[in-house]
Amino acid sequence: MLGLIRAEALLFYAEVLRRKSILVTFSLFPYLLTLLILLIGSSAGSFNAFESKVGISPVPFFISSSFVLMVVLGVSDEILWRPIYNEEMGTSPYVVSSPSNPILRSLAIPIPRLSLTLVLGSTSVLPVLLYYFGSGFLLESISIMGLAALSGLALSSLAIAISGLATLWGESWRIIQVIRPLLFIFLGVFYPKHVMPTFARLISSLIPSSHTIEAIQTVLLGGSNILVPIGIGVALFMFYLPIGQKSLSIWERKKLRSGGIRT
Amino acid sequence: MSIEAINLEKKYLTKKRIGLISSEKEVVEALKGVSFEVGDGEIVGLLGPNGAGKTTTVKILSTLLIPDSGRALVNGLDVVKEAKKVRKIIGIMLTVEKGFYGKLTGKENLEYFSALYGLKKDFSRRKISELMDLLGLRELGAEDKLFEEYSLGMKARLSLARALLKDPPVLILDEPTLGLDPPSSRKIRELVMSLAKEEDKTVLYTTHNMFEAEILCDRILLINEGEIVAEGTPRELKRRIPKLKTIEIIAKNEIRTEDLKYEIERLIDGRVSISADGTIEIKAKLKTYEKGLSEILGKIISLGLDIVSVKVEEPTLEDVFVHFTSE
Ligand SMILES: Nc1ncnc2c1ncn2[C@@H]1O[C@H](COP(=O)(O)OP(=O)(O)OP(=O)(O)O)[C@@H](O)[C@H]1O
Ligand SMILES: [Mg+2]
Repeated sequence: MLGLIRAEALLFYAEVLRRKSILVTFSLFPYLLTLLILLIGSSAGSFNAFESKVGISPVPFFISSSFVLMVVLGVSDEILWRPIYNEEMGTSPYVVSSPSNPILRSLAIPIPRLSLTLVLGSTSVLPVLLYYFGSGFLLESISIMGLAALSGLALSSLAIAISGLATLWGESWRIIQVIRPLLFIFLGVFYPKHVMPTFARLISSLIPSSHTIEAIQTVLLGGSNILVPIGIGVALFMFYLPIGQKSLSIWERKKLRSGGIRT
Repeated sequence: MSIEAINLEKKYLTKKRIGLISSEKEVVEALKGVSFEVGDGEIVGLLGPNGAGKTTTVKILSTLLIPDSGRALVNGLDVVKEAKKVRKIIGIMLTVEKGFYGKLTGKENLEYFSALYGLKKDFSRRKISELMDLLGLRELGAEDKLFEEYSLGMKARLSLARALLKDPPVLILDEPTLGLDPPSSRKIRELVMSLAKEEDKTVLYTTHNMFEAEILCDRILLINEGEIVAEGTPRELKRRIPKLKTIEIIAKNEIRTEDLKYEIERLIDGRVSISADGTIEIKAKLKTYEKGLSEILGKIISLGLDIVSVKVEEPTLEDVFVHFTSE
């Protein structure tokens, strides 16, 4: 697994650092997201209205939320995009016919990007949180960073499950465009779970990361009861793991039968 | 036997487009019962026209395609049921121009794939460096160049290097010299040859290059429309075709007449030219090698001509190819 992560890191950093456009988008993304959030926030009502409704100043809330969203979307993007990219590069026959374990291979894919995002986060989100809450909030701020990382990791098995099954549907690249807005809504980052209608809350609860995100919100609100949501998140991750595995093997089987692995 | 294919059949389901929206299902029978064997340390060439089923066969043996029926074994392991084990002992090369990450250098690409192959870091570092030398990539200054900046020759060399990373006993190479210039294709051929002869690696090699097939392959399988139509060493195959060898006879004669030309042409099926100094050049085709030759020579001698030289041109492998694949 370590070897696979090292390999993915090599690929990720080469892709990001040697491709200027990606480097620019990658570093601009958090700022654009924050700007968007501020725009949405200000059109929805005043800062005070937000504070009285949610119980926290909108700035730390949105900063942490956009950060966790960035982490989670990053993970789902990396996992869902890789099969498409491999097809494009012509590397998929060599990847598929490698003796490595498909699920470990897939789990390793998002880790480099996740790590970079965490580094970016600890230099941007962390200082903002400390500024707002004071240095007494250090432990909480670090927990928020950790929970954001966990939120990303927790999504990986579900993303793998979706990515494998997406091929049954055909045009797998479209799935990214569909998954993104769904995650945006159902993760409960900007739209906390407790204000969702029952149906949406149900869907949201099925996403492992929605629970760790709930834990982040609890920490932000000064609560400490986070072990239960973390536990649920991890349990759901474990639950989706065999499904992800199955989904990958269905994907491979289907490709190997139809001759869909292009050289 | 290192590679054994037993009655492989494969159909592809495709859609035939009719206009923009509608389509019709179409079945392509790519393999119609292909069987062959490749022995340890043997280089076997799989030759056939475009669309004959070479890549399909190669993909099945590489665990990248599941046949509809039939079986294939690599070192006794079933490519479908024991795919994971097979993957550890084969080195594959499927295309020349693609198959690597453009933003990684050649060396980084090999590092990436070694990790995927589960190779230990120390081992792979040593191996990669060795392969860079062996394939002449270091010499070409390509080691630290981005793959997207590679020439086709460099790409092919890197692809063969990847196939050799695991030091596999079996190599499956699909048109590894397609589009390469002579130095690059020679490099690849020489390497394949020495791997088979010195390290006893088994090689299945597809190509359209007849010259290459002839000098490289111990045995040739000719595939056409999904069936093996002929099999044997290049020499055996040439002997099997009824196609005539061409003979060129140069003879001399004192009396120079135009009549002689017609007389010879009447006796044998060929072209005759007589030059000013009385040299007679005869080009003819032989139906069967031995008998036809003495018959023609006998006829020429009976005309009272002096035979100066006889040259017999063998049919080429290309003739064999055309004979077995164009019906
Ligand atoms: N993935 C696929 N889907 C549908 N049809 C396919 C697919 N791959 C190959 N075919 C068809 O199967 C037949 C055999 O193709 P194959 O690629 O095995 O030929 P080949 O001998 O490798 O030809 P070439 O010399 O052009 O590489 C062809 O008719 C081809 O169009
Ligand atoms: Mg082919």
